[in-house]
Amino acid sequence: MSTDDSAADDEVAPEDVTAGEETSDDGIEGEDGEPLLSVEDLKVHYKPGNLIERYLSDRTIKAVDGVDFELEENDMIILVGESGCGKTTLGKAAVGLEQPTDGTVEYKGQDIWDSKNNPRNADIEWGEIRRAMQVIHQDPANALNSSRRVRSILADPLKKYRTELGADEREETIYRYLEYVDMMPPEDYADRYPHQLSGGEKQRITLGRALLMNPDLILADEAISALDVSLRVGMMDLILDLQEMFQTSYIFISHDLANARYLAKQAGGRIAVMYLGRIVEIGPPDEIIHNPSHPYTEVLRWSTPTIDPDIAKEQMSEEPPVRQLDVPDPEDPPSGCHFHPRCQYAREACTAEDPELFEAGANESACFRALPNHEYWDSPELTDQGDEAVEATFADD
Amino acid sequence: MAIDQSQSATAATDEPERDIIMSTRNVRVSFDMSRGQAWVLNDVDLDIRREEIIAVVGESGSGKSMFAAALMDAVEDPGVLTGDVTYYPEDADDDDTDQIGTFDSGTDDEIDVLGMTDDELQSFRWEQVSMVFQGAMNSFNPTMKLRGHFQETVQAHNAVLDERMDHVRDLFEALHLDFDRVMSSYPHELSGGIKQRALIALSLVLEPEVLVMDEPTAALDLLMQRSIISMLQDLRDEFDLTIVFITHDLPLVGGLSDRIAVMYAFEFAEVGNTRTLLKDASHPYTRALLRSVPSIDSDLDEMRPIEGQRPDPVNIPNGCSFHPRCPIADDRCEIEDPDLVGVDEDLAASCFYPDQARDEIPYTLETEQMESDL
Repeated sequence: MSTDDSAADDEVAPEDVTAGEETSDDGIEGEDGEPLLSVEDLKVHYKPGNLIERYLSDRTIKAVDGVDFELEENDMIILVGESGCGKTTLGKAAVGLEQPTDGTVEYKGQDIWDSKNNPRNADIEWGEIRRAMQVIHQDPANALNSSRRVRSILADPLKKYRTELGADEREETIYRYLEYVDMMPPEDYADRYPHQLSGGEKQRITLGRALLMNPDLILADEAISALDVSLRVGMMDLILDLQEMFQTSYIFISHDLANARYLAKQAGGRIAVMYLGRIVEIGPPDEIIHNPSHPYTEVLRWSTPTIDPDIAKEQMSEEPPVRQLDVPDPEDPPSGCHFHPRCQYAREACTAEDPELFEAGANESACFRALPNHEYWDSPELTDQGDEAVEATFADD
Repeated sequence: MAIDQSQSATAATDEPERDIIMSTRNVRVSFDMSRGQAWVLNDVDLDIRREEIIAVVGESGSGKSMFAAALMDAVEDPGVLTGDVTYYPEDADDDDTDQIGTFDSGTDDEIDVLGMTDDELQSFRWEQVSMVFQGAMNSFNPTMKLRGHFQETVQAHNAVLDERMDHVRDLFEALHLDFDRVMSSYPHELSGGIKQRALIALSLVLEPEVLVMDEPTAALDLLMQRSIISMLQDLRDEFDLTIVFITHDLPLVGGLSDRIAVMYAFEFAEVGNTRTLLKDASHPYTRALLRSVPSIDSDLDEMRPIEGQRPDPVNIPNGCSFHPRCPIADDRCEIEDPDLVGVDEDLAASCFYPDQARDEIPYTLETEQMESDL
């Protein structure tokens, strides 16, 4: 890996830091085969409205509705989906920022909410879990305190979690991490206020701040969307380099399939496509992009423009691969497969039964078409098929 | 299309041709700031051709929205707009053209947009040039049904309501909207995609010649975004529109636009035919930008960010504004500011060394080879 990189940088390589910091939970780390993070049947349901409305009504919005996934060490998963599909809620619930309505989130085998609520029985303390899972938000300008210098912003995590460090060591560490995130010379940047930094620099500070906590997992919620288009690849490359160096796992949230592909391909990660609170397809990037097996993944693929003008011009005349343009009301999702009212392949079977994730080549897909012997294939097509339906539903959400 | 492409080797010739609908010359916008004077548009020349879709592409802070505002003399105080914006009405001396609103072009065959009185400007906007803003679907009055918005606009311009409503029906059809349902709804009852399409219809209610759209799809779902793009092409064909489409998203316009104008540091770096510009750009910035934007199926090994930072409007670099970030810049670029000059047929770049840029900054649009395809 990159031990040489980091060792060359300084006498305290990040790996050493890891070893030093986590002595307390060495015992748990030893358990082999335990994934870093395991999310099982996770559900986050909200009651909309104000306090009284919430109390009186029985309406619920199922922001996340039964999601399973596992994340290994030094792994990357990219959650992709349209706005309102629940990707941010899932991300937050996965790192313990949002308590799930149902289901479990386990960090190295420890149920994180159990650790918080029954600290006496916990193998890993809640505080340790919080430290191990960090977040980078979309808008770095709002994530940094505008009245404090970079130096004091970055000193906070060290003061809280690395109390053994003296002032000089702390300063050295801050400079070292500023160098990691490509902010040279570090002495100069440490003295600046956030408004003296460009958007890309601010985002690199938040990345550096997250890494200072020496996390095992970073949730990056649209972390590059606020940056200039020409700088996004640079930020993604930095994240990838640092991932290699620190062996951190990432949950990356993106609405852009092109960027998701870039990250997943370079990191060897997976793309998970979300629709109305569920993962409908998960797999390696090449398969998701070029060989999707869920019809919704096809829709996302169709919606992401190609830059080649010849291909793009051709694609302009293509009809959208859906029967209905608008997303249904998340408060009242359709019966059976949530995607069936929009799906171009939908049949009667899809309205009755709710598909789970089935194996489909290298991917897993929540579509009956992945099963060769499913009753779907004998089921009649839905009656409102055809162009007229698209026309009508274009206007009618 | 009534565009004579062969004659327009350069995007901004001195003598505008007949097929030009709007042109800007030496347009500058400045703001006085405590740190000094900020130029947010710096000597911009562009010809917009009749019935074309031209995409103005730039990163955030490149001046593209200011360009849109300048086209309609809508730069807000304390910004100061100077230069010439000229509008060439269609068939100015043809009496057959029905006048829809209050705007009277008289017999002039060119109109100085920046010299108009407030009254003239009020009717010029909406009736000749109309604009759709980013996230504008939120600009509907929440207490008014959509029908009210259309009525208000039509009456403000003294147009005939019934006649206009018939036109709206056509527009709604082209935009796949249900006239009766949308018109009798309050804005909050409609989805973002429907509102944005209704707003496009509203902006076209007085049959303007030019529609300026500033990131019209940015706040929408991917599918809706892509669908609106397809509808825009139909709208242009059906209603003989000229569309100025402003966006930061280069891949979005590859299939939509006829021409692309790339903005960098408050001026145009490169202007040209969409296909030529995307396939073989000649300005180092365009080439670097194309190399830095991952597309859905392009080869990822070639991807590189653009080094350095975009310039500060108070302190635009001397000479070519891209030279501090440009890999092929030399002494000349630091001193002399290049003009937009023709490179190929229908491609112009403001760079002294377009050939060198093509040689030294590689990028590829080619789709990657899939192992599973083989």
